[in-house]
Amino acid sequence: MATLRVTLGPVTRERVAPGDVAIEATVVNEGDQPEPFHEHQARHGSLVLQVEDPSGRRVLLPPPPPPDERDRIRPSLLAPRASVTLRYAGFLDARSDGGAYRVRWFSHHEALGGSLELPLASDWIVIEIAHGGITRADSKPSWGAILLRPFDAMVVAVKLLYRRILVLLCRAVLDQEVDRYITETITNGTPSSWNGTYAWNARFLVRVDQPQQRVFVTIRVRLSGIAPSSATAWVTTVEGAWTNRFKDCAVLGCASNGYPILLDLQYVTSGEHQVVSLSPTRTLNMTNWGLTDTDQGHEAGHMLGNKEEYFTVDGVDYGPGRQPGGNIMNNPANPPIAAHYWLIQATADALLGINYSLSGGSTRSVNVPCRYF
Amino acid sequence: MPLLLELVLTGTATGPTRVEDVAAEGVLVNTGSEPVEVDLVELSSPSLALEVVDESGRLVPMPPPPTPGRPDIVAVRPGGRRTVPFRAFIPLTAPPGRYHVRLRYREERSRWVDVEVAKPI
Repeated sequence: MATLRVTLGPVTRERVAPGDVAIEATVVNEGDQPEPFHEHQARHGSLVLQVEDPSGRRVLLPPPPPPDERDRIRPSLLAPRASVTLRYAGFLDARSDGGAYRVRWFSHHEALGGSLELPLASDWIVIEIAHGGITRADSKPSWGAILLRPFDAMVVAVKLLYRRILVLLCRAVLDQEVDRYITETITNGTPSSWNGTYAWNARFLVRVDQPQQRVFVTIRVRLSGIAPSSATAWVTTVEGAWTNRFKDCAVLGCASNGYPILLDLQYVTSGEHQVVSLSPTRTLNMTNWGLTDTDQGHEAGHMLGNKEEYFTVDGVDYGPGRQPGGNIMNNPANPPIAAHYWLIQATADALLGINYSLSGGSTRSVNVPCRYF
Repeated sequence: MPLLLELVLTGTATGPTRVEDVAAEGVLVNTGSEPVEVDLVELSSPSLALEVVDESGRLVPMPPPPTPGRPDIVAVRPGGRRTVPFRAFIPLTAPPGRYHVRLRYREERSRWVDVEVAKPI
């Protein structure tokens, strides 16, 4: 009976260019015995990914590199209930057409957890691919759509140019909804109940406001089991933890000292990013918050795309939770660090058309000058 | 640990239920002759205490668990029981369909119960 299971998920649910596609596979040993699994070989996407284009045709992937020393060693053993997370990026040709592609993880090799009789396979997932700003909804457009395509392309190009001009004139107000699928695998937990693989969608709105020289981040939350008027403490905790601590030093000559990042937790009745339920006791996970503690800042950190920083997460050993000197993703009583704004910064920089960062990173404390040269 | 676990669905709806309306109660009974210390944080957090699998038997990943380090230890006397409520514990991103859920605490597991998640309105 197969004891290894593999699940596949996109790194982002947003429509992406073919060269930017990134997915994550998680292989879990659900059995009671260690199972061989060659993690190094599994990192070669060409060995384990199967891709179909929008018309159902198999897409051949580039050849893998020649096997190296680590490929040739025997597979290691994956302990019971342990898992590995594998990330694959750039496996799709940058010139691929847009549309809905299907991808799955598949292997019938023993070193990779499968066999001829029982391959190790994930479900197919769908990845929406954009191409040149035009996304084709299907692979067989109508004649009208074909005739209109050049005009669509012109409209898109004009819009992009107009936006670019506004950015250069420092007059742009740009919005981007973020929806990023995140997984984390905890091991070496004490107690061991914390061990396992968790998943969620980091969702929020980023607004880059050049005239105000600010980056506004909004997390829209629909409450369940509690009225907004009774949950004001959560707003205070979350905003106090994350707002106006760091800034994006986006080098464009507009905001001379960067864009301070302000965060707003907003209660809504629809169009939410997350649903948060009232816990009868203390905060119990990312979406079950209590009124007797102040851990909600840490949970909001997950909503912004951050993983735990206690025990061992994705192979990185952080030590115990709630260390006195730990940052907010280790100890909710402490503040975040610049790295915790990575997804906000990446989104803001993309909106501004920036694809580089200052030496040392472009997210800095609001009290530290952005040094431009 | 001499513990007996049970998970009971407590929602009023019959048939497919919206994700946010799914509710259950976890029951832990000390079947031994000595008091047992139980961490209510572990027992109450859906991410730590519930195992959810889909119709194909695949484990459904839960949202991130609570930060460890602040256990809430209670003693359950011999024959005593502790109940904990669970609400909206199927991840919001889970597609409609049938799911199997069970309660777990350390090495102990309850029987599976079935939950059918309705399509969103």
